[in-house]
Amino acid sequence: VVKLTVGGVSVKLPVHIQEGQHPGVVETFVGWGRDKDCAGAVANLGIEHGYSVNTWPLAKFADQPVTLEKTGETYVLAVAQGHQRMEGRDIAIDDVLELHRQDPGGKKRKTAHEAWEKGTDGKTGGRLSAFGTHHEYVGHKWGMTVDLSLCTGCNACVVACSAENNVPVVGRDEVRKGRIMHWMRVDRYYQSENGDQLDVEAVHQPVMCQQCDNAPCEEVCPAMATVHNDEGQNIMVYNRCIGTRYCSNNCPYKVRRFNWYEYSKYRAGPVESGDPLNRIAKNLMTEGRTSSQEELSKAPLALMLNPEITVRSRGVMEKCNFCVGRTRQIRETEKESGTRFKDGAVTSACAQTCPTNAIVFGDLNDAGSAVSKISTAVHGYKLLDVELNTRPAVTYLAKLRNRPATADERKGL
Amino acid sequence: MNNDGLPPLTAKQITDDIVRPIFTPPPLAWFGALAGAGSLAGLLFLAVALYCIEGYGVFGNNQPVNWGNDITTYIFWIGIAVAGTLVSAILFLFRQSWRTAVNRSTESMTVIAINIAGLFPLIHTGRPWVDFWLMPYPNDRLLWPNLKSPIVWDVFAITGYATTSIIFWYLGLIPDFATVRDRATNKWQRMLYSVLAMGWRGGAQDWHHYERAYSQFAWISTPLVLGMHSTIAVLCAVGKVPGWHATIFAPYFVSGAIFGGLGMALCLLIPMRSMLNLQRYITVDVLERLAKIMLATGLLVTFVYLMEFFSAFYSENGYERHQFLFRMSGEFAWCFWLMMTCNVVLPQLLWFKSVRRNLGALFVIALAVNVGMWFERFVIVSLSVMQDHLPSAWGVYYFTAFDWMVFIGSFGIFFTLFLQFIKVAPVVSIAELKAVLLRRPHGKDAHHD
Repeated sequence: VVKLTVGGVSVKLPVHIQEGQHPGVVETFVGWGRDKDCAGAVANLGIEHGYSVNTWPLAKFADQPVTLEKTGETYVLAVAQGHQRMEGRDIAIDDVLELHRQDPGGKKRKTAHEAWEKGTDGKTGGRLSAFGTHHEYVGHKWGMTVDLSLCTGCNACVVACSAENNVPVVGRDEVRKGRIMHWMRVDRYYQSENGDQLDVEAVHQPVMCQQCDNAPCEEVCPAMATVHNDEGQNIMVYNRCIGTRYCSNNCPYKVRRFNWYEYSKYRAGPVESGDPLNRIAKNLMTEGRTSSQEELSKAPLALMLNPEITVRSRGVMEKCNFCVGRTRQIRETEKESGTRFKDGAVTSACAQTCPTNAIVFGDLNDAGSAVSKISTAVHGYKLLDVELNTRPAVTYLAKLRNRPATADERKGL
Repeated sequence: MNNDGLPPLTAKQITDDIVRPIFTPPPLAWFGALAGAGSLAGLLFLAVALYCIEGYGVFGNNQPVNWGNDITTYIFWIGIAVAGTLVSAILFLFRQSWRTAVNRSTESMTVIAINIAGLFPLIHTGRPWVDFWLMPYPNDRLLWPNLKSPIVWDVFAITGYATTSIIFWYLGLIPDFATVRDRATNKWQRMLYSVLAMGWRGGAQDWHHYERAYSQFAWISTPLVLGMHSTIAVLCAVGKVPGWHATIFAPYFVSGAIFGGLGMALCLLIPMRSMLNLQRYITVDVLERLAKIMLATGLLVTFVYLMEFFSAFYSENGYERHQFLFRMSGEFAWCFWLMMTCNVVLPQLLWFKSVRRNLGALFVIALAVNVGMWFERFVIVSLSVMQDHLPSAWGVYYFTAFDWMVFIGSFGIFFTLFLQFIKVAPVVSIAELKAVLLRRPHGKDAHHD
């Protein structure tokens, strides 16, 4: 925590050092804190009580020197992503446009992807699995492409996903414990030569469930609560889930989310502190009394829920399912009308919302669909598929940077 | 055996010595220990009750560390259970007659530990009230467990092993229960032990059946215990997590389990023999032999530790390599180095005869081995998932108060049951011990049918 002073007014704020930011720049956001005057009953409790800090008073002073002072206090930030480097792994792949034109996709990635496309058991996308076959999808085969060049990391997809799928908001304490519930996330990795912390390039990578055809989670679930359906979606059967959490351990993408508490109870975030004993006592006291002030204050929030989607109870796993509610709906429509839907008639919440159309969703069995065309792009790759043979249904397109290649990058060609 | 200047053992003397704790009021220390252990055991049940009310979030687990104390302590207790069967079945098959002094107590350790271990998978689930879905049972929804899942294999392995070890343990107790029954003066005691002895009369026919059954159970238990712990190992090895996905895991876990289990056995036997005045039966010679096996398995474990690093390095797999670097130098490196100190460095002292025969030193080393083996499981289970494939999803794990309650509570249950066992049952197999001690001059092995 530092004391930030501008023009005689000072506030205490925690610091989050970002790579690539100029050492002389301090950035704060306005509009987050509430003080006594505007928050009424909530009052200004200071950051240790979670109502943040109002930085508007600082905004009144332009052209004033900014000073930072160590306070010696510490504050644990609730960050969703703790590690910002790829550690040399091929995760969010990028390339320089100039080099990409000479050798599309980069040699290594290209061979990896071609091997996937060709398949050693003679089927597209089908390298030999332990069982020698792959799933057959006669109807639809839902797929997705994510173009990292187009992704700006705005997180609109995450918000859309949460709204569509009734994803609980768990609050700061739970996020600190690493229990964020978002079904998809936008990973941000910094890259630089020799680990330089100032001259960095960022790459954003939306990660949702990859709907692996050879899913590591499915094979380890003892209750068969997570299974593949006949349209290529990896679905969660919530009421069959016991909650062993083996699936999440085994998921290389770590996209599975566990309901550690009855999160649906506090949809607007927990009111009390995250101390379990405190909450147990409180819940026991309010058990069965829905007229309590607290319950009433939450009642309208239930109307916020999407009625098409199950609200999950505690003790079960949940995750992205390619908006299975929407794809099932289109299937019913197809059944009624007897015609196949047109590409674009159904899309996932994230793809629908993406302002740059970085995410495209559709039917891979329809050769004419946008997703089918994009997924065969030469710079497309499947996340961790080369390493683990998971055969994801999501294809990432490597980020192409429109800048001159450095000498080292040229050499690496 | 008879080098302590005491008169030679007679059959009556042996029986007297071993059943004495059952008929005499236990020492005050016993009550104290029982009260302490019982209250600790209560912590576990309290934690479980509260988490059933509130949710699994009361524990420290998170994404990505879905398994923390729960599975670590689970594997720890299973490991303890393995050593008892080593002594009671494997050493029996190898005709190691010295095992008679300790086989009953280590077997009891097995039976108690396997039941505690079995508790953990049940309470670690998000919805423990539907745990029975792990069992294949006919139902009108035609639902079946996923036989591809190592968790289901574990369920079979543990239930099978628990059943067999309980029967094996009880079978050995029958003649001894009969001995206690015959000596009981109190009506209630006589009734209790009559039921427990199942009508044992000690005739030739009885002994004939007994010996055959005992030998058969030893033959069943031996592959079962090795297979059981290999199955637990597969729970990790089948996973795609770097640090789990290794073919060495089955022998690794089995040797580690025997190593850690003998550590626990020594921790129990050393205080127990003085508490119950059994120094003449559970001799220093016997303890020294256990220490030797512990050293041997410790060396196996050391070999695997080194081998794991070698295969991570040799595989050129960046994920594996990173995982092992993280173990050695990451935030939780102290767990790793504690494990190495306790499991690799300290047991080397057992090369010295003077250390092996010094019960204080042996106790300390055995205790260290227990600590080290718990951390070994923690390093494998929890550290591996902290940093797996995608760096964006890396996380850490810390114990909460509830984790401590469950962890300490499991020891509470263990000691509560063990203390009760030493009060109600003969802690050394009287029948076998007589056969070994009294027939020794003829140079015959007592266990031949």
